[in-house]
Amino acid sequence: MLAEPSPRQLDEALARRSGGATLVEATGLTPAAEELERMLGVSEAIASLPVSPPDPGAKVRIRSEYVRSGEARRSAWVHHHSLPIRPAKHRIPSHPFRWTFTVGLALVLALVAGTTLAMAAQLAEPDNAQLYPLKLNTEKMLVATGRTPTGRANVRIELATQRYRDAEAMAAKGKGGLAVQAIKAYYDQLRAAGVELERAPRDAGWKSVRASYLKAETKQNDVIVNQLLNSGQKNAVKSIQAQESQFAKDRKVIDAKLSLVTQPNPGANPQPLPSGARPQPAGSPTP
Amino acid sequence: MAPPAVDDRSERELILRAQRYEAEALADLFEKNFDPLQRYVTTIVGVEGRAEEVLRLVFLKALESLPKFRRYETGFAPWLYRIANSILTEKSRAAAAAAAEPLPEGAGPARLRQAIARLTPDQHEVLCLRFIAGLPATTVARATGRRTGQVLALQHRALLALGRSLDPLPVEDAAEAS
Repeated sequence: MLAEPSPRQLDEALARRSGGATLVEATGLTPAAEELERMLGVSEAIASLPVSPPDPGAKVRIRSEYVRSGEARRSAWVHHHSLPIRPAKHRIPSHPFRWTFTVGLALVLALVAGTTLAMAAQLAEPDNAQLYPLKLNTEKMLVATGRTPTGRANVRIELATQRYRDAEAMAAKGKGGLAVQAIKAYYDQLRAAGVELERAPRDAGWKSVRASYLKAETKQNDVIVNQLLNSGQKNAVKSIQAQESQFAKDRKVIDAKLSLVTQPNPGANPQPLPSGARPQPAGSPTP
Repeated sequence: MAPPAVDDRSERELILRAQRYEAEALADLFEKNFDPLQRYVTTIVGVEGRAEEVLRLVFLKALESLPKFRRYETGFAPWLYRIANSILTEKSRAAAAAAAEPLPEGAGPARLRQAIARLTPDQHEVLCLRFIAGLPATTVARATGRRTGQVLALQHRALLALGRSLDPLPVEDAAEAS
């Protein structure tokens, strides 16, 4: 039994042999020299195995099949990499808050869009046919949200002031019809505010709102009338003056009721206004 | 047989293009590797007819596995040699029954080739890459995903097994045949 060299010894002997050393030099004086020599001999026999001469025909045949297969794979590769939509290998994992988030986001977007539109509508004037009706509807909702008669009266006074400004703007633009409608809405809001104040308990808040009411009802239409006259709109002036005189009559009744010092009976019905005006709903001009 | 150039940037680009199955790149790879691979395979199998079949299978298998190729640093040729080894050892297993029979009488290339074919697939691979392809042990290690020590051990066991199965030594006969 021959002594076996280690793999490292064999590799070193192979390196020496390939470097030009003789077999004896390559194997050295080790107990495994004989086995090393035998293994080197085998390796050299393998390295010097005869090579068959190349067959040109074989190369042509193999190349032809190889090219055909390559072209087919190229077509498949292009198709595979050019599909515009491919199904996902893994579905998107569902999350318990996924739908909550989606609905919440939709609500937030709707709220933002609605708020933006409402804010834009608040700047609209009666000659804006798209946004002005939205503004009036928003104002109706604003009145409806008032919890107490005093609160609703306060809102109506604010709206009456806004209508008066609308009338001024329309008169300045020479739009008599819209100015008349705005003035009518102004008086209607004042009448409705008067009814609300009449039924409201007389407290500190009531007194404050009543003061606002008295201030709002004493606005003069002189500027509006003059502007309409300057633009030659006599019919509109006549309508406004008729509205003004009608409200002057109603105002006396309302003022008389609001000047009462005693607390009203909560169950008593408010007395109808002489002109038949109703607190709900207040008339609004339409463009 | 000279070892193939490794870490070649142009070859890497060529392989990357071939991985997209660009016809020109595939043709270039074929032309560059066919002759060395033919020498490698015919050295191992010895019979031209069988070599053609093995070469055909090697290139078709290479086309199929090309997108998975990642060993750019060791080059394309060792990868083809490994595919050839895989096909050759598979064929050898198919003829496993023959392994029980004694080696042919006499000493010559045919006897040596048959002895090599009876090695384990790992020994067969390392031995062919080292002594037929002429690759250094470190390159064989990188190309086959082994440590250099493992390659040296496999080389050692393969040569030991061959030396004991071939008696008398085929050195002189093989030299004569070459």
